Amino acid sequence: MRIPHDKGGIQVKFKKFGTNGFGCLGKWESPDLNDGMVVFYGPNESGKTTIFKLISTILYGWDPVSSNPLIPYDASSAECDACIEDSAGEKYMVHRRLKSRAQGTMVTGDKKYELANRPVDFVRYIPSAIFNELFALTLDELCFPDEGLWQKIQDRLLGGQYGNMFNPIVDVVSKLDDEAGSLWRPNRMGKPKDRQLAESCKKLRIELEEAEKNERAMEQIEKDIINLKSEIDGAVSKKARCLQYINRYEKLYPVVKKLRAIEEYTRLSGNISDYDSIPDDVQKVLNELDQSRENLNHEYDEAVKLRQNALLKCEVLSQSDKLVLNCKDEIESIISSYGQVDSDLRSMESLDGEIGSLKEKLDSRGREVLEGGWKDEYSKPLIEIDEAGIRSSIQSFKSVNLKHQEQEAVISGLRAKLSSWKMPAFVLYIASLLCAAGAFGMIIMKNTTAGILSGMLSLLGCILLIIYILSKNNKSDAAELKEAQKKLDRIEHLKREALDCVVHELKGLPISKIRAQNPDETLLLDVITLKEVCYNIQNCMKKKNILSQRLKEAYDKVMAQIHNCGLTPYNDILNNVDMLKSRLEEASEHFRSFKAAKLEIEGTDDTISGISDKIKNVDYRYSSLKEKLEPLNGDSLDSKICSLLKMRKYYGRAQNLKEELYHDDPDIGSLVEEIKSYESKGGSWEFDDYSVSKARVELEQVDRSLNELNEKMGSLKKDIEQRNMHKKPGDIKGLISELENERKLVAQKRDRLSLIKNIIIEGDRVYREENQPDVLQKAGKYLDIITGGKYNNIYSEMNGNSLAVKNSMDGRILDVEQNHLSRGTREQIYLTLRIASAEHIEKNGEVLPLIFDEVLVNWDGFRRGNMIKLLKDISSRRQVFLFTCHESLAYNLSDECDAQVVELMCNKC
Amino acid sequence: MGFRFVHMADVHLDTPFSSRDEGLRKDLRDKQRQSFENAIKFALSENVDAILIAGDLFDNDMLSFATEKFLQKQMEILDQKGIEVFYAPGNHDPFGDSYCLEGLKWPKNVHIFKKSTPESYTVHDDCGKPVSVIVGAGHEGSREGRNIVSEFPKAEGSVPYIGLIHAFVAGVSGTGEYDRYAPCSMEDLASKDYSYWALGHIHSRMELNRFKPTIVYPGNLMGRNFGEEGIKGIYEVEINDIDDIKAVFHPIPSVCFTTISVGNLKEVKDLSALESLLVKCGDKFSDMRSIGSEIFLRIILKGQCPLYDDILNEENMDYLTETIREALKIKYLEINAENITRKIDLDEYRGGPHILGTVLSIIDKLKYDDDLLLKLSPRDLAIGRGLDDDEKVKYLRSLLEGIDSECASRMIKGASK
Repeated sequence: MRIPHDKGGIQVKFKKFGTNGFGCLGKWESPDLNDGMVVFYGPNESGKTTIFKLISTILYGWDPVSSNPLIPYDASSAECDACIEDSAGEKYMVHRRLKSRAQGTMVTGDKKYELANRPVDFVRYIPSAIFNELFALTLDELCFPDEGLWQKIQDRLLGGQYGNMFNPIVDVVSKLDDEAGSLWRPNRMGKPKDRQLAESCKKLRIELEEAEKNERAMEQIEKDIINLKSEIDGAVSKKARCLQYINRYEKLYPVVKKLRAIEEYTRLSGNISDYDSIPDDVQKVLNELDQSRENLNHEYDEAVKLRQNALLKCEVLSQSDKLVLNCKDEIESIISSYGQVDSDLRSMESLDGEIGSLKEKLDSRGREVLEGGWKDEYSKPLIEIDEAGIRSSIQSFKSVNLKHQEQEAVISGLRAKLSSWKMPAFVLYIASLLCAAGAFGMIIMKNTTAGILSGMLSLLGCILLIIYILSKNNKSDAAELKEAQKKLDRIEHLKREALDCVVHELKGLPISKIRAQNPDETLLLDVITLKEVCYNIQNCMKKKNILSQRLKEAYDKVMAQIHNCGLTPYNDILNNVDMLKSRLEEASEHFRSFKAAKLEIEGTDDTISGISDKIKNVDYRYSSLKEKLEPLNGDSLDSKICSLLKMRKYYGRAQNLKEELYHDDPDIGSLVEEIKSYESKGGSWEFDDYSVSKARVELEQVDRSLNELNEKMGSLKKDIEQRNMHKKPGDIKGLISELENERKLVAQKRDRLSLIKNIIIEGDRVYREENQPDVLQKAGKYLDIITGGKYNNIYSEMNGNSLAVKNSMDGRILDVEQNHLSRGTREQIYLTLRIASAEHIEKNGEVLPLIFDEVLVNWDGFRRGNMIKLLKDISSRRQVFLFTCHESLAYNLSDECDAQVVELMCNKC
Repeated sequence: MGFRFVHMADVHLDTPFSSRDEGLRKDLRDKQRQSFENAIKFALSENVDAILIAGDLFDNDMLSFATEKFLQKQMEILDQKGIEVFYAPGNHDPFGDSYCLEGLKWPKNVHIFKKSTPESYTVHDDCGKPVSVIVGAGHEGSREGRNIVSEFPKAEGSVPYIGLIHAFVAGVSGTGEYDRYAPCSMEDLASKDYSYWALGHIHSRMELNRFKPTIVYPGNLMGRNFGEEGIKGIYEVEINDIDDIKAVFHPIPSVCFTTISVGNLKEVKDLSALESLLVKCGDKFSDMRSIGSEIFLRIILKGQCPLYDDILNEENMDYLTETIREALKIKYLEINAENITRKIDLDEYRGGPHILGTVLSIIDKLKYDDDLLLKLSPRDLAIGRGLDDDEKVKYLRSLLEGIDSECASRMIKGASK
């Protein structure tokens, strides 16, 4: 909403007020108001202050909106309205209502503007705070303005031509203050960053202490661990000692026990080594010796008997046997030739048979080949026949003979030819006739049957003609036959020569004529067969002679031995050989028996000798044992043996124990030495149950202690591990250092901001001094009027937050607040300052009414009078509302300033 | 073969690293131990005869349990390899106050100069021939103010003398910011006729004298903040004779802090252009990268910048920081934009008939007018309580940088949105 106004300095005047439920006013309406001064007069609680607020509400709206005390207690809403007139005479009806929300309208002419809770446009350049501070004054407000507000006022005052270019100084300074205050504060107000950092540092220092404690604790734990390690080492050593003792006990005590047993058994076994030669089972040995003695006697008798029998067997070998045995080699030679002789005899028989058979064959074949059969004289020429020569001559003959036969065949062929191939001459004529007649008929008859027959006849004639011509070609055959005859003669001559050659090769054997005329391979085969048979017969005869000679020699040999052996010979040589063989076997058998008997005798002699020695030995052993047993305790031999067995049993036990010890530990010697060593120390190593029990108890204690120590160690290590994960002092120090740096930077930044702020304030002050004297001058002028010239100058202090006045009487500059000026004077100073400021601010804007609520009550009559005069002057330029409960003042103003007095009635009245 | 040793100082183990990032603090602590381990590895690989530690091995007397174990292990490794350790405590780890030095179980190869009275160790070679005399002294308290060097014995004979101490050498440029603990002068050092002075205290590497005697501050082993920038490391020293000394610096891979200022922001149109401009900064620390160190970079943006509001936007700044950090492949990046201002031409306002003109003229006046500065000083300074006027003026004047731009941006409507 904008209210149009083209020119500056528009005077705003309230023409009328009205309320409908507004504080204590209820439904109220003011009279028409003057343009100059209006005095609202009434007793206390008559509504003066409410009207004062009414003006502010009309201009700026409801404040606050919620729970506004201006809403009557018996109503749900408050309403107010006013008629405002500008210097142009235009009227604006402003209506405001507050119920659940603030409503507002402004009507001018036929236009209506929605204000809601916004200020009216007349006061758009003057914030409500400034209006309340400068234009609407109560007695309480007549003091130095609130610092921020004062700055705002100052900014408004100094705006000038650059007002729109720069941020309001109060805002800049305020922002700098805020920023600086957010960083660091000299007091303990708020929580600036420096304090946050300081608190963080403080916390970190506590953490640092903790971390350092932690580090020290870790050092201590490390020391504890080292101590604990030595404790554990001690416990381990102690445990080791206990274990060593227990182990030694467990290891050595059984050995000691066994050694003691060995000692006892050795004592009980006495000088057992003296009886080492006595066997373990001495009783059994003695019994066995007795038994052996008996057996040996029996054996001796048996051996003697055997010797006698053997002597008898020796007599079986006779003198005859000896003769035969003397010729043993020869006889054995003859026996060995028995097979040969027998074979020769059989061969003789076989040869005789074979010769007979061959002679028969020779006769049979001789009859087939030879003229007059076989004769023995043919043997010689037959043997001389050369098989190759006769074969060759036969072959030659056969070849010539073959040629002869072929030539004879040729000749007979030629002869046959000459006799069979001669044709008669009429055959020629007939053939010619047949040909001519046939040809003629065929030409005449054409294709008729007769023509065909004529053709056939003609063909027959041609054939006969050809045959005739052929038979006329045999004129050379006769010459050929003659030549063939001559060749046959030459071949016959050759044939005869070949035949002669064959005869010559047969060496004069009388071959049968037929075979001799036509010799062939069969002749050769027969001749060869005869020749082989002759050979075979001759060979057989030779073998027979050899065999006869050999048999004769054998016979002579056999007979000689028979004679040597004094035997009666047989005729048959083989029987003689058999006899010799039989006799030799018999003699040999006798000799073997003799020899066996001899050996038996020798053996028996040895046996007898051996048995005698054994008997002696048994006797010796028996007596020897008896002698060795003699020193032993006991009356009888049995009791002595019993003593020996006991001693041996103890000795055996001692040995067994020794073996066990050795088996358990091959290095038993060192154990024994160890035991001896401990025993020699005397008392420190007692191998008894009490000591080991004590050691075991100690071991348990050490174990428990060790467990505890290990647990403690584990706990310490865990602790150190956990502590190691804590924050390190260096790390915390680093963070503290960083925060301290940040604090330093923050402090520097704050100092810088504060310095900037001071520079800007100083700039502002200087600028104000140079550019803003008119406000203070005007205020000074008003103060001069009011105080009757006592105070005529007002100064703004360097810090801009206080004022000073100059006492014109003595020239002193007095600080308004610090120099104990009277309350009335202070109120007059501040009032003049506000009036001057208001006038300065509205230089180019709307001229708003001034509103004073009992501001003159503390003034003396002189200054009040002066002020009334001043107000008269002011009200000539703007509307002035003055609220008072003093009737005299109201009518004084009415008289002096021509003020309109609006009397208010007390609501309670 | 002479005497070969490694000279290191100011390891400051368990330094409390300033950062809100717990992971970063831990990482830096680990890196610090790692750099010490790298130095030990170097000594082992070079098979030196000894290691000389010129003080401030620890940052404070409370060594963390883990670091204590780590240190013991390293010393034991050296002991196993037969490398002697000579250690002169400094103001951060004085023997008298140090729980660590008293409480730690040092192996037999570690020789600690427990007192401020100089002690001597003669080092022999394998044949038993003396090859060097190491004279050292430690701080007994955290504020050793005496000139300990003056009490060092003068070198005698033909064996080279080596001085080991944590001391402040007066009159050397670049050491002004350091506390004057165990102060001495170059003349004091030179007067002892030593071959080599193994010093500690100054965290920047300095070769105060190259020859006769060779005087070296190796600097600290790893930068700990942006005040300790550049490549850090140790010296490998070989002394063959009194006059035959070779001292070579060896960088130790660890963490390198470096700061780059970027002021030409007037023409930067948008954040992409700014990103490109800042990524180019990567070229400036390639040497640090080449030794295998991790880079901790701070970029300080200065001057007027049209992207004032964009840069101060926390989200934008986080994005920009992360993007550039990834592009540069570095461990840590901090972009400081506190010194950038809006693009306001203050000259337009200077002398103007308005309040800003007045303010700017006051600021100009404050640059030389101490009284006015004291007059405008905040009544309760957050820093500076207890300062005398001179100190206060100094402090306040340090706050004036860029204050005119800030005043203008705060006062001009729409300039500080």
